Amino acid sequence: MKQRMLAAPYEICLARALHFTRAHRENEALDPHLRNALALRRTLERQKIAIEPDELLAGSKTERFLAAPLPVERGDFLRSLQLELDVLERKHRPFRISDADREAFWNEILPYWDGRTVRDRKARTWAEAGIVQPRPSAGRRLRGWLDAVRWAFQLGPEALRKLFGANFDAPLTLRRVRNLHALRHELAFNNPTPATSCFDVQGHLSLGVDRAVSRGMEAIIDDARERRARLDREEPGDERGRSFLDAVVISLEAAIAYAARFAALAGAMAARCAEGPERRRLESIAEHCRQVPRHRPRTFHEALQSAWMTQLVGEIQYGAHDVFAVGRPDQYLLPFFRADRAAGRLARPRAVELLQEFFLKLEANVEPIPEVGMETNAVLGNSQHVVTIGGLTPDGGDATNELSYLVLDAFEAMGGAVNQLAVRVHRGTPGRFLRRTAEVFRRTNGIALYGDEAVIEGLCADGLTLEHARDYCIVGCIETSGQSNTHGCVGGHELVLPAVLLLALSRGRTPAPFLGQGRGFDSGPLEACRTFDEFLGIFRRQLDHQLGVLVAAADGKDRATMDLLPAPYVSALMDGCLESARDATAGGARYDFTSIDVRGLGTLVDSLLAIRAFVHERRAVTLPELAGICERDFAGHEVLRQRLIHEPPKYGTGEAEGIAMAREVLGWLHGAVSGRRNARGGRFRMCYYSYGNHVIDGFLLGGTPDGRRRGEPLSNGVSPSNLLDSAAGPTGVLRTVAALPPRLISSGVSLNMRFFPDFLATDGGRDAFAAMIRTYFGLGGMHLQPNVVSMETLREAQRNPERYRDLVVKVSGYSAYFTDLGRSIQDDIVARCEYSG
Amino acid sequence: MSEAPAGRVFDVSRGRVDDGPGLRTVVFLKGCPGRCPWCHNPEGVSFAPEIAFDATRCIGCGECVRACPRNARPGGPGRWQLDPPARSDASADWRSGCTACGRCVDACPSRARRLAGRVRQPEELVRELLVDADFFAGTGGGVTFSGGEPLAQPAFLFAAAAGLRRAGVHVAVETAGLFPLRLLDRLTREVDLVLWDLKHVDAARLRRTIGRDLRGPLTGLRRLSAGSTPHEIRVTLVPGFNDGDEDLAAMARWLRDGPRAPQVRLLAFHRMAAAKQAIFGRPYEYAGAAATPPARLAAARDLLEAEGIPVRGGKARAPSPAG
Ligand code: SF4
Ligand code: SF4
Repeated sequence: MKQRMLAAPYEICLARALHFTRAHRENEALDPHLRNALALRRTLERQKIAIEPDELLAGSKTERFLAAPLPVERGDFLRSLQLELDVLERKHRPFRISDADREAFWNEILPYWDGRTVRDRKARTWAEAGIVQPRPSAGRRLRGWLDAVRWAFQLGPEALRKLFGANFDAPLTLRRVRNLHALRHELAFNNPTPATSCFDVQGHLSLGVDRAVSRGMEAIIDDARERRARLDREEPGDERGRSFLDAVVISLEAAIAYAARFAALAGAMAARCAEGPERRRLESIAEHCRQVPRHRPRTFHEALQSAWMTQLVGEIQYGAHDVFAVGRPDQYLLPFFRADRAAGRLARPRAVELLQEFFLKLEANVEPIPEVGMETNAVLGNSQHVVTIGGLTPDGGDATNELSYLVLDAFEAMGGAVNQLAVRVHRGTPGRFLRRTAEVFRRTNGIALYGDEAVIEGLCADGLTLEHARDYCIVGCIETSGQSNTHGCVGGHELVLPAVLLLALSRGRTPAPFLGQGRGFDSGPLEACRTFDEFLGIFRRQLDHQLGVLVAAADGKDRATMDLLPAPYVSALMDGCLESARDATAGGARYDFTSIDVRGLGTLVDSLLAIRAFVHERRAVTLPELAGICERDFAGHEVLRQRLIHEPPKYGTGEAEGIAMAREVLGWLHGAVSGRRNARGGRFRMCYYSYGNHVIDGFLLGGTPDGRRRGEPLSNGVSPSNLLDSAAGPTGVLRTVAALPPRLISSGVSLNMRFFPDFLATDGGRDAFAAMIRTYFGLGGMHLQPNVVSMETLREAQRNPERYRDLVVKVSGYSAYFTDLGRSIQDDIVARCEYSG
Repeated sequence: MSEAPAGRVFDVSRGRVDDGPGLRTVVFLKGCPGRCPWCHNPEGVSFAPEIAFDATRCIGCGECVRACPRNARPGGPGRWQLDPPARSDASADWRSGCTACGRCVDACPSRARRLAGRVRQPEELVRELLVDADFFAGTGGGVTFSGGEPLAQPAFLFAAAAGLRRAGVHVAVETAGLFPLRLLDRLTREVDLVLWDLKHVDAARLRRTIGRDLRGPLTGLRRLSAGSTPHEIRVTLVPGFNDGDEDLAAMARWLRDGPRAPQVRLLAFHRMAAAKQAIFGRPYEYAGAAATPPARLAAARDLLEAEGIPVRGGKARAPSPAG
């Protein structure tokens, strides 16, 4: 199956898009909850289904083998498809699309949704709130284009090709020019300022797979009916609640019916099959799909079938790619595993095989993202269906169990093809488990480690009960979340700290708003500040402004989603929604947050330390001079640049100055949003990671006072900057990151560290590694993404990608096939400094 | 403690796992009485401080030239701005007249220059090492003194080791045994682990190659083995010197005759020291030799084990990092 996946072409399937378009057109008059439930039902009733050869778990998301459901109704995706449709086949890894689908897109889907998506609504809200100008003046438009052209010249063709991939080389047809012109300004509706972005999706969350598996969907339908009856009695005026609860019932029934279609198909296929293993396989699929997800599973195999069906329907409903994490399968599958083992029904290798298939299916998720993303995002394996294992139980015991080990076995057997395995580590985690983890990731990569104590402290500070905090799982890339009770909106609200700094250094002039956004915010003249603290005042004014824009932008997006795109299926499985009779998008979940992803912490801290040292302590250069030198990318000032890199104290060495400055920055950010509430009444949380975007940021930003030049990447997550000498070694980095207070980074951080394979080649090395991780977590560390790679391997893989198709590399929080990554992120991986000395 | 003896250290490398148990910091002491031509830390041989120059980091600014009081034209023939390729000119002549005063190092903005062999006070070194105390304790690691020959600076070594052990840090010393035998008792008492590099058991052969009578080290190793201090014998397979079957067999016999079953770790020869030629402006005789292939390492291991010598490891070992 893995081989088949690696070899299969990537495809675009527009079945869901078409069914959603038609269902929405037909039901425009209905309440949006019902409209969305009916669109889901129509898709599940009508899209073609298949059972693949040798498949053990049935269920498909689209009509094709390797394709993703496409969320045209959200907007981001509609636009990127519009832009990409002409270059799909020329991509780094080409996508196939049928001519019929292509026609349907231009003639039916795009015309219907243009103006009706969440994004269109969001754009209107933003315009009303003055966040972006809906119709910029001719002068503003012209200036935007001039800024863009100037920026393009500064970067040069090589960097542009890296950045835009196939789009750079594609011929400019009239349609493309029109598209590009229309889209450029529209990008402003994702990037209200050059330092912020706010996308149309609401971000990742933990889908209640555990709830569907443990109870069966029929029990949840009964709950919804009962709640509906109570609502009629107690709040007869709550139309919205009633529609929501009805939509829940429709959605869950549609999921059960979808499974029944697979049962029928498997039954029919079995009937045509001669007696033998193939027939038995199909018969058991039929049997399983009749039982689950409707009822509680009877076996481990059925439990996995239930989990998979629950998950994939969620993806079809939500549409957005890669949104859901599957929580803690080593906990919710355990009763079924133990029962099967006790009854002698299940051999361990069979359990591993089933787990493998489940993981592979989670991963078979490809989506054509714009080439701009392509540079940093991979395709196959870029799934964020994180699997979390190990850690504490809700009552504080050790949750590590025999199934946790089997998940590792499955992961190892797949060579880490599933990119997201989150291993939770607490004080009492068995040494054997940690060593086994080290052994597995040495061979596979793709495992991230989480320190329970720090994560739980952060979640409790966010208001989770201790039990819920202990039951956390990882969603998205590295974000922490309660399991199936948290609508956390992680991912999609981003702030680039070094851009904020450059805006502060230029009174809002640079980076230039070349997407056509409004003028930058002037946080005050540099000449006036005599002390470092006065400069920090300017910086913080700029920071508060940018955060204010981001919060307002998220508000507009959230209100649009609330009005247009409730998610009844997802909400049905989320703790709190039935009780409050409110959709998760309307604040129904037990816990509700908005998470802001902050990038470039290391680059910012180093820059501030450099400013303090060179401008205010040594007085080697004035602030306006330094700002000018950075803007001209250090031309003629190479000596100064080298000194800026090497002489000031740094973030990531374990030095007190770096730690103190980082904590101060975290405190400002937290303080700036802690009093605010999102559109649903939830709080804001901070997350420090960059899923590869620190490389893109690097292209967009000019030189920074830490000595980084235009085009070079920013620091990644909470990792130190690439410019840091490795002399401080891994312990310096670990001590720095462990000193970041969990309540200020409660939504998660990402620390990437690369290790030579021979670091882990011996038992002694693995033991030392395991002990190093414990020490780091004991000091307060929250996350570690170890990467085991050799330079030679990577270089060779760059030269001969075809021979390294299965080389898995993690890029801050998610892993991907190395050869799917664009060249610049490949280079970044190769260049990242070695910590093993 | 005020007159604690200073020492020369050419590198401190943190976060290592192959020089003793747990996570370790390795301190490289400068100077060695031996002259092994394959030495993977050639900058550790001379006792005098030296200037390392890494041409790949040099930006050709000429700050070093302006800072040099000796007119030693540090880094090359002084054609910085005119002819950047000349930076890679690693010919040794710029070093003539250099007293390693280190001023050019301080002046260099890009860290292209490094002073290998800074004078360190033991207390100050210990303080620096103790920043990782949590990780030493947590991983069962500690500090390893290597070189050079660390026992060539015994007062400094023992002062630093004592400071570390007072703070509860595990101390290992990696030695080739090139020191007066009277120091052995102290070594066994004052460190927690000895890593003993055994080069050959044929004294005549040693004298020819290394230029020293190595009967001393052999006697030392015998005594060490007789005592109770934990130790490990490390053998680096050097092409054409000790990696022949007869060499290994002789070694096995010698080891078997010892007072107790030895712990042996086999290490592959690697060529990473060749990269240091340019940096220290000194030719490296073994630059052309091939790294020990894994098969050869495995064969050597089988051979020793067939002779009844238990062997650990079999992996290449990294040189001091900065080169
Ligand atoms: S170490 Fe001193 S003498 Fe030698 S080159 Fe540098 S400045 Fe000149
Ligand atoms: S000071 Fe450093 S960078 Fe400048 S020329 Fe000398 S060695 Fe090169």
